[in-house]
Amino acid sequence: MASIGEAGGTAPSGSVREHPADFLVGLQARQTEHGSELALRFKTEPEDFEVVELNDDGSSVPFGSTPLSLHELETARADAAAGADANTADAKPTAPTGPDDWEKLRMRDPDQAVAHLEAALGPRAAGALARQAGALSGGDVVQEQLPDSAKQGIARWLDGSSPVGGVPAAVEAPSEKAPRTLVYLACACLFPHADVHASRRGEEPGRDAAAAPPGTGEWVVALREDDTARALRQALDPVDWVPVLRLLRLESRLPPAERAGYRLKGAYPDKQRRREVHQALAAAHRGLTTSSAHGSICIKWRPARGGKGNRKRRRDDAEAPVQHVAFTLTKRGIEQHAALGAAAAALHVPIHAISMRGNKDKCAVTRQRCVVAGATPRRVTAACEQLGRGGAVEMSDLGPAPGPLTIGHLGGNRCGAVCREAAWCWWLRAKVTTLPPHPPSSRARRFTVVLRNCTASSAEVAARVEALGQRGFVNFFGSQRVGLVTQEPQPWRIGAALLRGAWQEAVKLILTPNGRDSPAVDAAKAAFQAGEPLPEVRDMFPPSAVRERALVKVCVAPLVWGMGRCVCVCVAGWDIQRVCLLFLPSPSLLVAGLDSVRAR
Amino acid sequence: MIRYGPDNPLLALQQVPFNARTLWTGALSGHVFNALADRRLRELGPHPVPGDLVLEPEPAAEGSAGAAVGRQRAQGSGRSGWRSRVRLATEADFLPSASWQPRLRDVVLPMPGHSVQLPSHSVGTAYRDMLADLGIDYAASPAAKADMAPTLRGTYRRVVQVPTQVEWRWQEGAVAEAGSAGAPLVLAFSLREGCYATMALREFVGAS
Repeated sequence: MASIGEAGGTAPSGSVREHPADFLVGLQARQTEHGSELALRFKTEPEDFEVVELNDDGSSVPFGSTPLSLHELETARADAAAGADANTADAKPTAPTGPDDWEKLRMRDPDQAVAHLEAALGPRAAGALARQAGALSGGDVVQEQLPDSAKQGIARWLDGSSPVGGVPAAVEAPSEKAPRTLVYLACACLFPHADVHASRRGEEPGRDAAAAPPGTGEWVVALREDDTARALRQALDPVDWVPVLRLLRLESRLPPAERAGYRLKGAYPDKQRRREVHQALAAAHRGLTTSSAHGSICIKWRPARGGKGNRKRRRDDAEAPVQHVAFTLTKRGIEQHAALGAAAAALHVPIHAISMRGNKDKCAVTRQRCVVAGATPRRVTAACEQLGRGGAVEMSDLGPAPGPLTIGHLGGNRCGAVCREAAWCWWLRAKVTTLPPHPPSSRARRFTVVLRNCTASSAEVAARVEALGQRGFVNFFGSQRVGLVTQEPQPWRIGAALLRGAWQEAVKLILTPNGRDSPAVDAAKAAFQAGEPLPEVRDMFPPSAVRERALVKVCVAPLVWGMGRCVCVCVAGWDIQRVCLLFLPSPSLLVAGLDSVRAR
Repeated sequence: MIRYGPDNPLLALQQVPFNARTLWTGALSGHVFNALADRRLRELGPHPVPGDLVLEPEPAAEGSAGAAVGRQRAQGSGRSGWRSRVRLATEADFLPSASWQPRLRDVVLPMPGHSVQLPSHSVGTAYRDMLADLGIDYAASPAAKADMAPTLRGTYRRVVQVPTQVEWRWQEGAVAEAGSAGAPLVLAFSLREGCYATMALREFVGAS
């Protein structure tokens, strides 16, 4: 390629010589008429190049700090939501400031109330709540941080010894606001279908006064069953009451995929009573579905997709604001899209749900901020753990986000480079270095390179720096974008085939080994070129090869058998021989299916 | 491909995410630009000549034209105005009496698309020949009709970029005059978005 830096300001007259493929991305070697040769190896390893995204204020994206716990994340999200509500929605209330406000908010939006409470109580109390929830599932009601009177009152209420059915139970709450709200929150969380009301002693509503616990405490938290809970308790056998409460409390807060069912242990021989149980459970939570078999009732959660209940849920989701969670994505030596695909798979969201501010280099260790829409904090936390630390893709530093990110809205990138074995008049070895953040008003990128073992003199370096600053450089696209000259097929050939409408050629080019991919990907591509069956080729591609896997995506529906007839659903394969190969692992099923069709 | 069969490669390609397909078409644009820039500098030298596409400075803008472009792009507006400032350089632009004389850093080249001006010299011809050899017609690309690629209007890119805030120093502890011993040299510079540090390094190391 041409250079403008030659002496005299003329274009170089030397011939362009391609460098052997001993580096992945970097500079093209050039041989001039003087015989000088550039042999700079740059970005040989992903670790040689580090790109860290800068925020608009010039600060680096966070990395390496202690990740937020799930409850801290939800707390921060609630704070962000509260802030957004305060700024945007006049009709929405601000964060509640007292127990009565908690009560109103909890009745309208339980999750929001819990989030507000957790935000008010801090991570320690939030951790206590988590322990309480876990203790509830294990049978132990309330552990620490609650006053003894509250523990006893809740325990009585839970085991049924406290009077129920219109007569509320009540617990004495401390006068300090923080522990009082903790008592309130514990009650609200532990009893999902109870009206929880906190009031000063002596100021309770009339029907609650009779149930006020003895003592001198100033505050009382009263529990009253709502109509749903009352109907449920009356319908259920006592042995099933607490497990069903736990189911409603704990399972309803989990993602649909993580919910488990429950089989009622009580005896329900009467059909009328079973009907009442079905109706009460359906009224208790719309996500529940019940079925009866041989006198026992099984409770399940509706599937996430399909079904009447989910159509309704989808409407609700469309009306509800989409939740955004920010995280730092670190990738090492893989393409942007592959990294996003891996993150999306771990998050259980489509890849377009993850937004970012720009693509980063493949042959580098890059760190950037991303925002996922529609994933719960629990899911994001699980994805962080699933991807782990130090791998090709890593997620960390979760945090709330007001909305998705847009391309280009970043303060810049902080780059560090390692140049190896640059032999001409230099012999360079460099290491990653840091630099102060660039002024946020500028949209330029700041680069710093440390060239080690430089044999040039200061005068020569100064001359080169001056030339670079005055004449500039040819604004070529780097091989990150257009591919290496030594790479075959080059990516631009695929683009040309696409724009030409040569779809078949594009497919073949994409699935041609190019020597730049990992050995596994190259082996899979070679298998494709050799005519191996496509299902096997698909399985040979690692999960990171998102594009290739999508291209040879296999959709082999299973054979469906039932009631003397067979419905054979399969897809058209590469050719008839490959279709037959699909059935080779199960020849007996094939024979039985054919016999069934023939008999019919 | 198994789902749709080998006779429907279009449907198989549509399984590839749109962003990935855009990368491939973007690679083609970059390849065409690189070839044109290389040809431009080799054949016509590192000076602007009549027939070049040049980017006029913004009339009321302070600082360089590039900074104005950057500000406009940062503000998400003014793209059409930026395109309107691209014009062909004429002989009159190089007369001593011209109010503004283009420099090499003002020369731009088209990125492939269906709505771009072309240089009136040999580079413009090379652009047409190159796309003809590739069999690509951006105005009637089947890829856009099949939603396989974005409809490329085309844009312009400077042939030469000048890094700013170029600084260098010997790393601490190194000898200032390091002709023999290996002394670490710290080189720092700033580049506008879309520029490649590898290309700047190439110029820095490769220049004699």
